Amino acid sequence: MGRYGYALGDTMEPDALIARARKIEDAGFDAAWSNELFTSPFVPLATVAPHTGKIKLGSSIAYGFTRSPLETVITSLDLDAITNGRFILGLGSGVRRLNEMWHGVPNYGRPAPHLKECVRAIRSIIDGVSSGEPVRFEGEYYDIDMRGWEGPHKPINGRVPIYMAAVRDGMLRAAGDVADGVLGFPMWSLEWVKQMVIPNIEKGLKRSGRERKDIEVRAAVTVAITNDKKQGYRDARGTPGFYTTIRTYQPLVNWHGYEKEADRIREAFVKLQGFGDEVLEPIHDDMVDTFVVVGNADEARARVAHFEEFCDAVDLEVPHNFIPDEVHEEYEKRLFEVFAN
Amino acid sequence: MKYYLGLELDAAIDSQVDAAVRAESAGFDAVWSTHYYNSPFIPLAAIARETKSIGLGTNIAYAFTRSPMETALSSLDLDAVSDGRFSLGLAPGFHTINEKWYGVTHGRPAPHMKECIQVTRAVIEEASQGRPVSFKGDYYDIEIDGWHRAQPMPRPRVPIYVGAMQEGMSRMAGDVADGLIPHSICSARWIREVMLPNVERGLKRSGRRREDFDFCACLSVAITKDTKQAYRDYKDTIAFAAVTRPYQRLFDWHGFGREAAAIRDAFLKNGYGPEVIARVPDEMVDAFTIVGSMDEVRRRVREFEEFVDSVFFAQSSYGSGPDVKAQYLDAIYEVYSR
Repeated sequence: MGRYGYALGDTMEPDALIARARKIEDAGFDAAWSNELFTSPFVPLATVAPHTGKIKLGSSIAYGFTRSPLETVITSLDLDAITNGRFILGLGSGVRRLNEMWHGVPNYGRPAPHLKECVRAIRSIIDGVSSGEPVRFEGEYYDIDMRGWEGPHKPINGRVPIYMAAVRDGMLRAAGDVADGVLGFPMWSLEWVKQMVIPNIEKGLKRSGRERKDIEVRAAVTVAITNDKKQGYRDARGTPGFYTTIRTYQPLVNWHGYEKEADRIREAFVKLQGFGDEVLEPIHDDMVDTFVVVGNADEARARVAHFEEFCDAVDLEVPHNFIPDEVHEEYEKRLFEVFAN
Repeated sequence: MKYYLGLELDAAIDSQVDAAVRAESAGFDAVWSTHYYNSPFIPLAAIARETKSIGLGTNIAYAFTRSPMETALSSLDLDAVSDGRFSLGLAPGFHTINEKWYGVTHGRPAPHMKECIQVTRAVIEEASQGRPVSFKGDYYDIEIDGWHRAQPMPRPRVPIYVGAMQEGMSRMAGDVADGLIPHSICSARWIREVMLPNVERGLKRSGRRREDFDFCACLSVAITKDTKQAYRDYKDTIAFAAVTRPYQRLFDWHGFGREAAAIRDAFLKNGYGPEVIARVPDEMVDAFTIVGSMDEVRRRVREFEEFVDSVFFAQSSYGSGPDVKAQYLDAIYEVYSR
């Protein structure tokens, strides 16, 4: 049986949040993820922790540069304790604009080296507070000199797993260098996984003297299970539609040969100053097929299995952009029926 | 009068939850977490679910160790999961801890704090509603546009408290905060003569009224017959403060400048330990903590109640063993439950 993860979603109503976590656990999935955009990445995990028992609870993702490494460490150790060792710290760089303008991060710099150093700093501090030894960490982005912390404060299993979200080659190699896991991106196609994701992670692993088994690679796959394929393609356009409008992901879209479609999508987005039918109109079935799994239950299982040949786990999603809530919920219901273990 | 309880530093989250549940059933108005070994936020998330009516606050969260937007997101989340019971207490922390442990800029604490509170408040109250936030200061350069809080908010604002001791920080709290929690070694005289007048100046110049502000007294209290043990325990609390240079002024002002300097010298020579603690005279314990019988403690707490809005019982002394701490706490429950 495959290892599947699912997002906790955006609710902050505690009963609903806990019900969702339990639903993910009851489906036999191995992980539930919180994200950081409208909410903090951590409080939702603390809320559901005492009401779940098996699933891993992780951030997918917490921004890496918007709090100091020690702040991330004490938060992680609390979550490690409250989950009894089920916490995964998933970090991502976030885009430059968000870091600088929203969070006032003064030194965004080069995201892959920065995040790699951030992970190393966090690890050094966890080692220090576990042993009570002083911490000295000097890098390009961090300069930490910790003496006088009275430990020990040890992670439950001796270690807090740290995963990195990666889209492109540099961050994939950086994750191969230092991370315990890689969190996929919804626009990783199967081709991208084969040609970019795995080879670059392996480069990082090799140059750091690590092996493939030292890292968990999790794909993120959007799945629209339906017998009405035509409608499925229509409903799933929002995933490529949304990400194509974000400049950071342009090289990835272009790599797949959708430069022309991307131009039209962005033109319409600028014209409408937001999303609308015109933005999604250039997204044809082939483009949807590249980035999203659309099909009946058997087809969906088969296509997700392709990802599992290369990745260790798959975090599943269903279409959610620009479709009515009840349509989204219907896809979610079918996904849980088909992928429950 | 509102009564608050501090949660214990470095306690397991489970026992913090138990403490909060007990405080709620005893009628205390709020429990407050600390930021040092624990995150200030995660224990409160666990407590929120297990309680119904008691207030939940941070006393304090370091202000500069995460971005104001991060602080705002955690605050909004805690206010959501507690259905509007969260208060955000912020303080600058120490220069060394900020710069060397956390790797962040300490700067001038009061102006830095003021900007931090202004930005955090703007995210909570303005950006959450989809209104753009633009802030250019000495410490923050923020432009938030195109973000909103997608989740319903139980109320439009979250109270922000400042942990303070000195004049500048007190004025600043009067300028922009909803309340102030003094350091636990602030005496009644210091609060009345130094802190309150400055809070009032801040309130006045920001066009606000004294009744809009929650000024706490934060007290180290030991209700006990064994005062000898209590003096020994609280000498640790005082020594711990006296070794820290920024507190020298407070000790000078109370006429304990020489004693505080001697305590610090002993610390610099041999590190922190029993010899340092033994240098604290009984008179300093009397000046900065409240030790005595039930009646004696009631009388001395009442002195504070004449000019503060709430009484915050600090977690008991650093020096006590767990049994003694539990006894002190039980006695506070006996006197202040309702």
